[in-house]
Amino acid sequence: MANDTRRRTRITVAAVVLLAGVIAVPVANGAISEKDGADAKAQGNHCTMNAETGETQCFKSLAKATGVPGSKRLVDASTDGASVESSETRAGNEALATQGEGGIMAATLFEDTQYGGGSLTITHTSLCESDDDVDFQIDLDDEWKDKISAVQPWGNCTLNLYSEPGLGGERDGPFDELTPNIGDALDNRTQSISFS
Amino acid sequence: MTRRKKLSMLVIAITTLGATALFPTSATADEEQPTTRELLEKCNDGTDVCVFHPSGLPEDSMGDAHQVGDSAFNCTKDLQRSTVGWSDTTGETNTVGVSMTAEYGFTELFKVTITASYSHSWESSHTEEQQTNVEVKPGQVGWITREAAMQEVEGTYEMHFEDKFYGHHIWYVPFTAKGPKPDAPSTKTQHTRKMTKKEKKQHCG
Repeated sequence: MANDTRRRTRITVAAVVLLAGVIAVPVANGAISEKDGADAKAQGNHCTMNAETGETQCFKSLAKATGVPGSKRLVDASTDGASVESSETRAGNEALATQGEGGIMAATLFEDTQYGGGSLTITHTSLCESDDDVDFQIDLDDEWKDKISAVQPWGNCTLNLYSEPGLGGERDGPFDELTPNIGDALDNRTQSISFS
Repeated sequence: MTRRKKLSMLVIAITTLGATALFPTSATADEEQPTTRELLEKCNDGTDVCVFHPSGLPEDSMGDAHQVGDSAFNCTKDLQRSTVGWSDTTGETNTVGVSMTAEYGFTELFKVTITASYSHSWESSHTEEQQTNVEVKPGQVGWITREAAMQEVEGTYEMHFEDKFYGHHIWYVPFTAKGPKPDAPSTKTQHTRKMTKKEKKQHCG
């Protein structure tokens, strides 16, 4: 009986240790995950926010934030590249395919015009439906309130920016294309965003 | 099933579930994968949506210093001012080695996006020509080097396929391109050194 109890304890401890190891992976990769994003942003200026959970993770580069690794291997393009194909690595080493279960990018918001400064990438579980209805909305946390100057919609989304939380106050939009400068109306004044 | 077996299975289930939930649905190594070029060639030619998302401002840098024009050998006993005529072309490099002048959907999209984002166009190639003076002391050789001003743009192509392409409807494809920075001056430097014995023999008789 005592042996059984000890065995069960050992297995339970092993389960907890394994699970803790799995959960710790994003932090070990240099990201920190915080609900309010305040501590998260201290880890880097490029953050992601899950639109459904509000969970924010921050990184030192946008490539790390989006999970799409930057492509640093540059090949001479003075010809048409015909000779390069045979030596090219498979895209699986670099490109990221998504199956729609989550992690679909819905927008990247930038602190400065021309996509400069820090960034916040919003992810969602599905593409936007591209109709007039709001698919989902977010309130920016304090770290990102009144800081947005450029936007890039992803995933068929159209963005509308609002000057107060809960889609309140003044509205600017729709933004359905890359916009390197959102203009004076809500520059550095966005507090919530609708996605449709 | 014994309790021990049940607990062991619980450990495996929790670990598998945790790993599946936390890691992104990136393509795995054992699946057959398209090449980056194969994907990009589908942009606006087999996709519902193809958008190039720049990931920041272009990054400026200077290219490698390299000699332009011929060397000037001074075989006289006087200081000589030589004029070196040169022409130098700076090209582009990128992830797939395809010139932005080639007619593909992804090259057109890249150029349009750069112009719209940064108020200047993408330059695939730039040629500079000049006559540069170099002062060479007796018994020395002089030459000119040039470093071109470059810009590098990094970003991601977002591609949606109506029918799955290599098993997926959506692909995010990273892309980086580096080329001459439009309207930015290059750096020209003149250098001199003593001729070697071999050079003296070759050029001064």
